[in-house]
Amino acid sequence: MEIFEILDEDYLLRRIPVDNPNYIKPDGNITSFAFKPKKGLDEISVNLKKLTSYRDSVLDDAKFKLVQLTAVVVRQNNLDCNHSPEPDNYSHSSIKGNFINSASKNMARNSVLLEASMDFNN
Amino acid sequence: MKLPKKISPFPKNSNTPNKDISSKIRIINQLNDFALLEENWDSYGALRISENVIEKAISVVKNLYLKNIFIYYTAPSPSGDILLELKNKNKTIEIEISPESDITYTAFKNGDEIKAGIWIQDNEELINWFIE
Repeated sequence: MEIFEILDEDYLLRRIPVDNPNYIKPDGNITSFAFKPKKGLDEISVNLKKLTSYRDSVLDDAKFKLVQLTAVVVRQNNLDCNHSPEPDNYSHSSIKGNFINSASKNMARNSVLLEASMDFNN
Repeated sequence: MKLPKKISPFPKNSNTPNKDISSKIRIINQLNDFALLEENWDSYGALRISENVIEKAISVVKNLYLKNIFIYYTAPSPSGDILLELKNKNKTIEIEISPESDITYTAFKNGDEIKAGIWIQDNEELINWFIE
């Protein structure tokens, strides 16, 4: 399986719950919980946008939406991101490192909510 | 034909007791709904939210509403914690309730962290800073 180098300008996608609970705050901002690993872990999963589609990444659009951020934002927060494909998800990638609160907040602040109709190829 | 006048559930003044009660009930209902979440509710392996954490969160909420402080936002974390967020103009307090440890808070002004520590229900200094 070919491993892609993630460039600074590449987009990473993260699913966020929007029903119960809703990770979009009343002012439209995304909670930093969207970019926090479980306690004791030092990584979260994302998808590399150029290798996936909205439908494949969102899994269940009644429960989730997608947010995107560029790899440079991840790296500016002293975190690493790498393409780490899985058998059922070739676009799977990982953000790894020391997830201090400010890093999760910065990633949430710099992430953009995607519309379901968005065509990734354009 | 003259249509009947619509009656708002809330009186015009937004700081009325009715509005407070509605907001409090909405937040408590949201917190109770967190108990319905199955493991992996975020699709990335998030843990269930324990009843103990929800009860602790509801207790904090009730105490804050007694001081006329509203909860702006609440959400569970992938680790089973609950966040309660308070907002007043450029000030924010994030209260984090964990299953296994003390309740903690972080206070922000204009997005910058000002102070953090263990949440004490009657921390007058913090509450006064927040509401001033």
